[in-house]
Amino acid sequence: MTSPSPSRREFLTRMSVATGGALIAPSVLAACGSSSSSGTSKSAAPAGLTAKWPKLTSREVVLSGFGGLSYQVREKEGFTPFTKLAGARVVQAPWDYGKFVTMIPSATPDWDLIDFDGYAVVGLIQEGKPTGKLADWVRRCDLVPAQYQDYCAGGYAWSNVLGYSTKLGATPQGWADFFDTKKFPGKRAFPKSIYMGTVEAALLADGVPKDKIYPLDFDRAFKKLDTIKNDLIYYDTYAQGQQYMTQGSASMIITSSSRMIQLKNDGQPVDFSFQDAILYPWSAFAMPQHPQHADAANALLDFMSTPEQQAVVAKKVFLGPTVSAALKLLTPAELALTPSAPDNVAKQLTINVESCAKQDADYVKRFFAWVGK
Amino acid sequence: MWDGSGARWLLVPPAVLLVLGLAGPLVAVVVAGSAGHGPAGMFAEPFRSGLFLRAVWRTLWMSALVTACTWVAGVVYAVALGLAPVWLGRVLSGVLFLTFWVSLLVRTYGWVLTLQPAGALDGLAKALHLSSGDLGLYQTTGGLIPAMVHIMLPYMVLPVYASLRAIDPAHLRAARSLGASEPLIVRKVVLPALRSGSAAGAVIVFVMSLGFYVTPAFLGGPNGQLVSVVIGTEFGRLQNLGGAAAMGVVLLAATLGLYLLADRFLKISDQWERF
Repeated sequence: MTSPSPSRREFLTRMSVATGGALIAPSVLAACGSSSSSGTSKSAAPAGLTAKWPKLTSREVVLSGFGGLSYQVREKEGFTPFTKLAGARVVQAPWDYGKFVTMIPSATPDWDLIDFDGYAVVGLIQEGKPTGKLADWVRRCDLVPAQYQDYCAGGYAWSNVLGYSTKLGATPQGWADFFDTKKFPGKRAFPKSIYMGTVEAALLADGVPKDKIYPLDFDRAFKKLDTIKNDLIYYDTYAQGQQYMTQGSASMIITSSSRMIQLKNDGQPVDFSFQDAILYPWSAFAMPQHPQHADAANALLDFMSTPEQQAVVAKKVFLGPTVSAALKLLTPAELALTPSAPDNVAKQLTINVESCAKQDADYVKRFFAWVGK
Repeated sequence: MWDGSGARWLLVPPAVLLVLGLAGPLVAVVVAGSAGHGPAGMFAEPFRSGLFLRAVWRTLWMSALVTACTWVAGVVYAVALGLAPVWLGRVLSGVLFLTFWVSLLVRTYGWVLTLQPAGALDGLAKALHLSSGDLGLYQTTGGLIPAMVHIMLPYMVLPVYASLRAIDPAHLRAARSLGASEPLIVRKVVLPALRSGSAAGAVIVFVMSLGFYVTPAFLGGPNGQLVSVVIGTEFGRLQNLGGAAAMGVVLLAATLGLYLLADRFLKISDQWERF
């Protein structure tokens, strides 16, 4: 078979974040609706936000995103208030990495923005095809490394955690316990296509110190994964993984923290910890080089990067802010659930974005070969 | 009498549908498949992948096994349908048609809930004290085969039952009046009469199993993939349109080849006229 093209690997990258990001359950929506909808109207946008904006002439922004429930939240809490401020509608387009890459240099790209992750942006910069630069007046996200701040804004942090059934009795202390089926019996729910974080978890379980994880040693990781291959049941989507936990089919799972929070809020007997979780510290909304609605696209990025908007996403979608000021708007209880809260960052393995961007093609190839073996 | 010669235009709508719905997409798939390595490479390239080769082999033997199991179950079911008293016959055919009416996805998901660890079957085994833990059938070949047989059963029962209904009762009376025992009648009269129907059923089941996607995708483990699932992963997850198209063409060619071979020896196409 042909070697993975950039579009192929980046598609996978996105697949995982797509599912990681799309994590709102109706119950969560309901639960949050009452608690903060009152606060939203006054705090969705800071006063004077539009002062730095030029006069906007575009009447729309085309955003390639994932739809689904997380976008319903964004629509209600973000896009609708933005349209009131800016007079430009946010039009959602279906997500497609390959299509976006062809649009980056185009003079008339169909889309103005795409929901992207950090190492897609870094990968494109490494390949010399960077995404469009933000206008000077757009606020930068200070939790994104300085050298990438000009290429993206408004993103989020997410985390791959070890989730477990509280019926296990004892509490798993880390990835080593994920691989210890004698001490902790039961099947392990494991992704069949959302590969991100699996190799990192195996290396941590095998005793590799956090600062020696990158560059990834695939041989060692897949050897470790071989040891529990017969104890895995595979999920295709995060929702299916959640179903295994609800049903009691699996006693542990590797999944996004937001999915575990959602299950807990639903009253399921499950829990998770950020200890040794794998943190994807920043995702990004990025532009092509010459967006057709550049003024409104930049304004939307500015709007989504406000601490208030970042905090809303953290409260309702359980994704971490990429703006440190947003963390100050969260209660201690909310911070405890936020992947990018400093206390949680200290416990986790933060992925090395540059290293991941370089090794991603290999990662994909090795992961699928191992799963299909 | 109307000879229909003035109504050729009536052929236009089905021909247009055929071109738009089948020929067009098929050409697109062949073009995509041969884009990378040329038309010859399209057939050679997929076999360079160990994953694909293993999937081909697995698909062939599993289809054969599913066909054999479905044949046994289908003949028993069809004969039961034929012999049952009226009320039971209605129940049996009701159950059979119900499986047609319930969506494939729903039936497959039913199997997921049955087989998954701590699912219905594990619960039953525990209640009957047959097993203490988990039967471990979920996402294994052992769990997939019964589900495939279940889904394929109607395609076997219907042609076999059609053959059964075509048996002339006079033959049975003649056999009986000549002193044949019931087992002998079954062996010498009934089973030979079912041969054409079960051959037709077996070919349908085998050919459908070759390209079966939904049930294997849900119930098969990622390390026990059938060709269709490999194609699905290649296209949907890895975005390798060319590779997926080439594998699809190989699968189509193999299926057509096997069908023509079966038709040559079993005269399946004659069967269609009976339905």
